[in-house]
Amino acid sequence: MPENKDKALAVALGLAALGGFLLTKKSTSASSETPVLEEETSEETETSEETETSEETETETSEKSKTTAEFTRLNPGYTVARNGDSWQTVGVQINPINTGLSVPAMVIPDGFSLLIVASPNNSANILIGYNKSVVVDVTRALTLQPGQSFTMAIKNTSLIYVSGTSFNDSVVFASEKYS
Amino acid sequence: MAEFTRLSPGYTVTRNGDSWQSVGVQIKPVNTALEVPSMSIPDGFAVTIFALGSNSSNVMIGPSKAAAIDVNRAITLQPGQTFSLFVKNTNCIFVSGITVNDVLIFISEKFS
Repeated sequence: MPENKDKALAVALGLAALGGFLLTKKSTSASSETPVLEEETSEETETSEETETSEETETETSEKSKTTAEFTRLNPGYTVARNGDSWQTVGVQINPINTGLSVPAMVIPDGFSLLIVASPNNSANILIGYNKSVVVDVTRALTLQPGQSFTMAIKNTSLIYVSGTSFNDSVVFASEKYS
Repeated sequence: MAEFTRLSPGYTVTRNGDSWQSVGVQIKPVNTALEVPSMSIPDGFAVTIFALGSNSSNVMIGPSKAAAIDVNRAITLQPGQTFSLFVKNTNCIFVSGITVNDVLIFISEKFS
C-alpha cells in the first residue's frame, strides 16, 4: 500500500508540475501579448499628451493673440505694421521772418510718416523746403495756409527747412515712435 | 483673402477691423492738459482724433502734458478738424482747450 501511496504522490506531483508548466506557458504567452497592449496603451498615452499639449498651445495662443507673430499665424496672407508705443512733436516759430530756418532733429521710425501742421492761428502762410534756398523761393517751396497739413515719409525732421512772413507764426512736426 | 493672394501675387493686404470703438474727452478744466482715457488700438490701425464741429474754440493735442499746453509743440485742431496717429493706446495722448465742454472724439477700428 505504501507503494501505491508513493505512486499516487508521484502522479500528483507530475500533474502539479504539468499544471505549473501550463500556467507558466500561459503567463508567458500572455506576457508576449502584453507589449502589444502596452504599445497601444503608450500610443493612447501619447495621444492624450498631444491633446494636452495642443490645449496648452491654445492657452498660450490666447495669451499672445495680440502679438504680430500670432496675428500672422492666425491670419495667413495678411500683413500688419506695428503701431507706435507713443508719439512725439517738435515745433518751429518763425523768427526771424523771410529766412530759411532749420527744424530741430527728430527721428521718424521707418514705416511712419511725419505730419507737418501749420497752426490755424498763423497770420500768414508757411513755406516748407528741402534746403535754405528752396524754402524762401515761392516757386519751389510748399506753401501751407494756416491750419493746413501734409505728411512725408522721411527719416528726420532735420531734412526740412521752413520760412514765413509773419513773426511768431508756428509749424508743428509730429510722428509716432517706439518708446 | 486666398483669392486676393492668388490674383495679386506680391501684393499684401491689411485685415480690416471686425468692429470699431471710440472714447471722448470733454475740456474741463480749461487750459489744463487732460489725459485721454485708455483705449487699445490694434497694430495697423490709426486712432483718428476728431474735434467736434460744434466746438467753440481750437483744442490742442500733445504727446505729453507739457506739450499739450505748449502752442509751439502741440497740434492745434480747429472745430471739425481731424488727424490720425498710429499709436498703441490713446493714453499717450494729452489734450487741452480754452472753452469748457468742447469735445474731442477718438475713433479706431478693432478686432472683436
